[in-house]
Amino acid sequence: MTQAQPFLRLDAVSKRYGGRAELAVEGVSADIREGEFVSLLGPSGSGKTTTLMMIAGFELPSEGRIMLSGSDIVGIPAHRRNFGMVFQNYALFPHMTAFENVAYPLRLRKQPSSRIDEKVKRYLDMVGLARFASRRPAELSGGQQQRVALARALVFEPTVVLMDEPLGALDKNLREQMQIEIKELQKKLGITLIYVTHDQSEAMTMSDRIAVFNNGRIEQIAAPLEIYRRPETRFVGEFVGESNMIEGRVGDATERRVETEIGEIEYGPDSAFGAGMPVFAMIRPELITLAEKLPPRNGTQLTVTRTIHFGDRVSVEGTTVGGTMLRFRASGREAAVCATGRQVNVAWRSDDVHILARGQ
Amino acid sequence: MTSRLQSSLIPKFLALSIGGFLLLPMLLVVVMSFGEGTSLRFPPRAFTIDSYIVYFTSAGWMVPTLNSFIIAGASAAITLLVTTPAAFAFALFDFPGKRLVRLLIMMPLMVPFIVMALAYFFFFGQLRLLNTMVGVVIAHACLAVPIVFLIQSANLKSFDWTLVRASQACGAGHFRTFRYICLPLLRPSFLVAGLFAFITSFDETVIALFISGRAASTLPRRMFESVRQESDPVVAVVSTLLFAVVAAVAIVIAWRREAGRSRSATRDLERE
Repeated sequence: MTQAQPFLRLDAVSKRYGGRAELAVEGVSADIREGEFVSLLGPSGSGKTTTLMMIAGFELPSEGRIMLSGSDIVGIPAHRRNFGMVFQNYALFPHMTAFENVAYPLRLRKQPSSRIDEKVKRYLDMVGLARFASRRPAELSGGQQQRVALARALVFEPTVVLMDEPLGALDKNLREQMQIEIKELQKKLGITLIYVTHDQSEAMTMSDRIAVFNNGRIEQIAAPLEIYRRPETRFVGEFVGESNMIEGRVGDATERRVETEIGEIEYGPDSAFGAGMPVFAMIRPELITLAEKLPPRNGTQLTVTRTIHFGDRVSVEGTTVGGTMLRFRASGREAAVCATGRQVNVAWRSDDVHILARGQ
Repeated sequence: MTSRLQSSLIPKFLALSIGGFLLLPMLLVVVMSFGEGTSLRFPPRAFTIDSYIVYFTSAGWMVPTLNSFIIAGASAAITLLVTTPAAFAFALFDFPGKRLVRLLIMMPLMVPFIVMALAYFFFFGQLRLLNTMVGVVIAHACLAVPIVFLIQSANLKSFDWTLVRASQACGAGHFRTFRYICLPLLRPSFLVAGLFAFITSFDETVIALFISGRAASTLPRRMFESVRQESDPVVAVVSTLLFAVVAAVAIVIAWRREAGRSRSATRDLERE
């Protein structure tokens, strides 16, 4: 990457709401490339929506800069930023038809009516609503309304598109279908998209990169698989996907071993931790497998405490002799072996063990 | 079966009897307005429309009627100009002293009319606003501000403010957002608020009696004088006309609401 400057840059952005002691957003920095799909993922109150509103221009940062192609846009009001926006509750104008809603940004830009006509039709067609152009929002279903909102946010070819939990109000099937549609539109049109969600699977399937928010900070910003495989903090590891976090201390750093309550655990090649450092050894449940006999290392014996059957697979929880709880997956066929109260041996590969720092 | 019949009949009976109790005196006035003679009498000896002709042809009645319309219109306009920005400010912003300002706006509701009338009488005397339309307009606007402010605030409370952000994201500044989004959506409720302001002024008698004088006499004031001095059947005419207008407005509103409901129902059908 020889890009001289990033497309959109958040530079140590903080937000404090009047009179409150704690910061809603604290020193958030991120570089977003042109054409990139970045999700802001986190629990409610983690600062992701506030960050989005500051990018949109609806909230002023208390500190820090927001740079677009090298120039600070903090002082530019929302309506001059040329950013498209999709809201969770659709926010369609109820007194306008679907056509008029999509035409609104073009009319504000004083485009000739023949061009407005052509563009609105093209974008309504793109979201599959050409037939519904003359309907009012009240006459459209939730999914259709959000498609109109999508067309309205894209029709004026905005510099950046911002989405605030756009699928939060839709049912599961429709949500998954819309995820695919939004992702395809974004790729096809080369849109720079910032997408706020609290749904980690939504962020995983759609994004080029995910910024995981917690307590007003970005804990990690990376590609979805990187976030999943190599979370940098305990919060990221536990918020994105399921995980087993085993407390321990690095024993022999060159041999890459962690001393834990369940014995020594070997870890993968890419971690740089010194001997004696307090760490978590993280193993995803699907990477732990049942074993015939107890392996000398990278395995343990469990007493099954709970089994949840999903049909094709089972989620099993068990405790070691020392009381550490581990969760793992087994296939539907292995369910009988994992009945509650039974003793099982489990094993994992050292490459699948990820080490992350543990605070005091 | 019988109990269900009873439960549906009893409320109907009550509604009819209360309606009759309230409406009967008004119907008496309607009958009297068609009565013959120069003074109010029930039952009338013969029916004519003489009193209606008197009302519509005498300057003594037409001038106060016109005055009332002008005063009510002007005070409604002023009231809306004051309360609309105030209601927006209260809905959108938190500012120091917000509760105190709200209390000040609501104050006229807590002061008895007669006290306000006296205060205006002395205060406007010094300002040379006594016996002028301007004086009555100002006094009536002050009276209507708290009521209309409450209505406007309720209107804005149910307004979806994300629409404002959506409009800004589309590229509209504050002015165009107000012009194209807020105003069209809020217009019906603004109209209702304006109607309340108009009626507040049109109906007001106590203050008008004190400060309107002969020069700016309003219709209620003229009616009061008429009843006191001459017991003129024209009063019954005016009452009947006002009654008819109010009934017509109520019927139109109810009818439009009903029409709107059935229209959205057919739309639901189309969507199926």
